[in-house]
Amino acid sequence: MRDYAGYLGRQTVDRLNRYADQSALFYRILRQIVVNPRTGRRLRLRIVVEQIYFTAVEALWIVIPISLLLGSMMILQFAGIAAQHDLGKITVALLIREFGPLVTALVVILRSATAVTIETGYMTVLREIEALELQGVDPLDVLFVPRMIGITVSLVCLITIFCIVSVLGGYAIAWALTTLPLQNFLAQIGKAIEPLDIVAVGLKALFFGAGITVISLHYGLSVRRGITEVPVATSRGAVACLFYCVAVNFALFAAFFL
Amino acid sequence: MALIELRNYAHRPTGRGKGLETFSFTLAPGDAYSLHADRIDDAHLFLRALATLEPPEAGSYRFNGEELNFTKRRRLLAVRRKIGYLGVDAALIGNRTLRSNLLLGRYYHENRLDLSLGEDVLALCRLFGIEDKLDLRPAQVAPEDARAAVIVREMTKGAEVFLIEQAFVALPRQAAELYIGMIREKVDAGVPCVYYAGLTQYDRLFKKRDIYIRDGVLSVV
Repeated sequence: MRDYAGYLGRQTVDRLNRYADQSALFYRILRQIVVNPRTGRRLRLRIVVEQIYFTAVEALWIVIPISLLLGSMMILQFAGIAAQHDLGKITVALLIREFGPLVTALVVILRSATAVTIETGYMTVLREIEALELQGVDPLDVLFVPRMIGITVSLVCLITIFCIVSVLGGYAIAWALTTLPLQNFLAQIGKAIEPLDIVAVGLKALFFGAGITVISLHYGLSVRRGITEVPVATSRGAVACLFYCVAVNFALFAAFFL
Repeated sequence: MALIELRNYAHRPTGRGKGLETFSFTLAPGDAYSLHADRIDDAHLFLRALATLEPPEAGSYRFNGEELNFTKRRRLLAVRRKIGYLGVDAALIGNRTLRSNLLLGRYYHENRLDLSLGEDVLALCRLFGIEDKLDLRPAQVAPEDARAAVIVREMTKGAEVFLIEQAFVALPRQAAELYIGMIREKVDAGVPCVYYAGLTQYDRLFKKRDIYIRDGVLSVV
């Protein structure tokens, strides 16, 4: 019993330490974004653009088919079970408000968060971060800040694309392939969307982007002893990102819609 | 005035070393030390300590008379830029080409991206035989070419002090002799230098004085 209590205590302390470290890292990145030092600004901007390309542009071929398939499937299900007049409301509540941000975040975690953890882990073990510092280059400027801005901007764009494609594309597929009644669907969607929905989805994108970046960077930086730690850190980082997104999703839902 | 001054510095062991027991050490312009240690990890730790890469567990580090606070990152970066660190673990950035690696510091500090390598850098690249490999990434070139790129980067960044570890590691003989010649020029010009030869016979190349680390105890002779 005492051993178990000790184990629980150690786990709790470890977890609290990890959250404290992640909060400190988030604060430092955020402060650097606000300060936006002139030194290295152009280099930073270029790396931000590269990050947006890797995270958003290269993910389009995954996000668009998923949004089309998920959108058409859900619209057909909703049309089958909901009364006509509720179809727009249900689609907005589930597809745009909940599934859109979460599924997009999942794609970003699978593609980019894991890549960031692996890259940061390797850079730590192979002393590449030290190599930057020995040239007077601040890793915050060229590694962390561009990742944070790039991933967050990418998530905002990808979630927007997901929502539009899933609703319009899903509607088009459902209309073309079935005889289910979908009259006035787009008009219902237009009526059902409220400013609060857009604010909630925007906040989710911001929180997801910042959180995914900080967690994946932190797990990458926690690699110390060797390259064999990188896969473990990547796996744990991805799981932590997923839990974080689900928790934030629920917290924002509770804050706005309960 | 001393360029680097470690006062009552101490560090716990790393790897298989004994660590560094409390010591004081100064490095002034014109100094050239040959480092000898009974454990490679202790020599490596000492060079990393001089390069500010290992924060002290006790004691202080002064650079140009200014005591460094290891929690003030920006200030630390400015100091690190003035240190030519050629340890065995000095690395290149893996996802950038050799050219980009050599230009990264200038991209950052000059806040411009339309830069090209200076004539002095290109001349060194030519001498080390990496001129035609500048657009490859470190993983795409041989280890000795990557090492040569590190040497070119550190030698041309305008460092005020050089910390060198096992100069002959991962370099063909001709390149190593070129490298040794470059260090000798720097030492003759009064740039302070600490050199660890490891198990090679090249420990008398630039030395004016010796540093011994035995069982974690540092002494200067």
